[in-house]
Amino acid sequence: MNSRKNISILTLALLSSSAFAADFPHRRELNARSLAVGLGVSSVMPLVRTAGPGAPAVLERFLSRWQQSTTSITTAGDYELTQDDTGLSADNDRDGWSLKVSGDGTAVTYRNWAFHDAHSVPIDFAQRPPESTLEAWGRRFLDGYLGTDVLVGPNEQRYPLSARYDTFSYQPTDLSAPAVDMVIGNVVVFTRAVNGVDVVGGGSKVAVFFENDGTPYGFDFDWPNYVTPGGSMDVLSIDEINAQDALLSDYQFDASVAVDTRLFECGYFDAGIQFHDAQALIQPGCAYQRTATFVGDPDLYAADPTDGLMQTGFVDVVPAARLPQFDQFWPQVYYAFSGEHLRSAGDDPGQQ
Amino acid sequence: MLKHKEALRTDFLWLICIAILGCGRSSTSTPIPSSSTQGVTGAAPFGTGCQQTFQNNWQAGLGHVWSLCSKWNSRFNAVADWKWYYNLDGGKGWWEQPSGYGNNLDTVNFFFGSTHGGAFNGTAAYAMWNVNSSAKTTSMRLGNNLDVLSTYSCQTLKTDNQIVARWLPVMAGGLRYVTGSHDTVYDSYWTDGSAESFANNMAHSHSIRSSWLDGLWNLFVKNDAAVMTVGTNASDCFNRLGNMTAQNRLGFPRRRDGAIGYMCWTTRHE
Repeated sequence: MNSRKNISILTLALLSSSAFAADFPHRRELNARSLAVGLGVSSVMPLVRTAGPGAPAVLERFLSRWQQSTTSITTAGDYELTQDDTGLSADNDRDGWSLKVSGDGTAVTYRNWAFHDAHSVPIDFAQRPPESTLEAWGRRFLDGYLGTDVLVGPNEQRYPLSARYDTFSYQPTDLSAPAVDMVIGNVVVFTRAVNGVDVVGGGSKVAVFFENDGTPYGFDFDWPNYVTPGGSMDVLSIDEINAQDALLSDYQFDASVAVDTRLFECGYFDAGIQFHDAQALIQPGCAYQRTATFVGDPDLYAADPTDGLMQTGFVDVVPAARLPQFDQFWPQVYYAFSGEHLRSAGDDPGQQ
Repeated sequence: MLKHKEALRTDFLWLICIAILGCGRSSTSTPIPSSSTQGVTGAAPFGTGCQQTFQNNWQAGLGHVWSLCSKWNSRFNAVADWKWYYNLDGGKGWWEQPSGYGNNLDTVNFFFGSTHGGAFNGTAAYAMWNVNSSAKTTSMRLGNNLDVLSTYSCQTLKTDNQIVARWLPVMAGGLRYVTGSHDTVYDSYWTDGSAESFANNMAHSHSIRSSWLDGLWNLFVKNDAAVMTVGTNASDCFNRLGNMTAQNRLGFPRRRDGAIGYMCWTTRHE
């Protein structure tokens, strides 16, 4: 039985409040607004992601910037330069840092792995830096290290989105004591709104990684400049968006399957440079991150309906424009235009 | 593979060459040594087992597993020695009872798999292709050869009060390291490069923990990554969990049965 409509209904009923435990108020509001009204506007001006200066130029800029640094953010020493189909990387395996610039240079990833491995001193989970502290650390980092890279335009706003904690837990195998939970690292993510509309997806995001004492050891950003080429796109209502989801979702489930929507966010959908179609507009869309729970062991399930269950996570991004334009790297738009599911290469290897 | 020292800071020609002519080089690799006791020498052998569709749709199809696993194979093969790659039709046997199968989880040093997962009462489980068939960790004892068991499957490292019961049987055989998820990993077009990224990180000798957490990290999709190992005590466990790499793992002795005093794990937690 096709239960796509069940998914849409359950979206409203099962949005997991606990999933937002470390999300900032802006994200909670975005999820609530998206559930209630979708984008909450009748039309938007589409955006164009302005091409960056190119990966080589940006890589060189960052390599030069921290070449003399003796802090946790450094590009000192020898490095190995590589290229793949996503970008350019400089890796210093001896000192343990890596720098990658993706695509046209609008996305950068930096890690000082060795610093983190040497400085990830555990603290009690209850003593972890609160979200407000992570936000302050993040803003300070963005101003001090990425002030010329993560710019906020006149019609744009930057918001803290989410916090995540890397834990270290241990327990004696004789179970003589309960597990002890500690924290060894922290991440804060910021997002952007343009013309009052949030950008959802991997684009317009910046993440900063911190030790427990606030020392940064890494960052990611995918932060292009946007321009408005003119015109506007009418936006679907939330009921119409859910109807589109029923038609375009990559996944079909039987009515017996429990579907839980962990995140639901509507806005401009920018998947990020690795999934960007240079010919396509940045259009309105709604991103669902959902889980589905199935019976994995009927005998266990029969004995206890909370046992024997398996889970999967799946993601759909439904176009929210009344007349979306083609995007070759947006699976649901691709499906709407072609009737084909978008897949990377890979085949069934066969049985042993 | 070239080492560059200050080269780019004075000369952009090579970068321009890459950007315009595509004349760069392939991704770099740090060879990962073998620890097999069965006479395999040189680079470490690895195997892969994945499942995207399921018999009679007993589990929902996963749209992106073949690409996830193919990308893993391609990247990790640059640093280790690819031995085999199978779907999970009849996989329960070679996951749970390795001795009866020529190619099984314990004939390689590294294994990567992807399918549905679950945290049952007392055991973690992986869905096989066959109806109602799952491989259960309480029936798995690994570590004659296997060093690192990595699965892109939901919930198998769920951090409730049963994690020790679910995983001690597996680790008691001497398995050095497990990577997985404490809650949800997503099947999607935007995450099918996660395992490739994990392989790339390990190729650069980063710790297995950082390689997995970072490989599954995504600015869009909230993957819940987790890793686990064992130690004689909490300090030993902490050291092994954070410092083991694909390259140095042989310096961390296998801990078997009574030598295991503690289990420890890291999650990227909300």
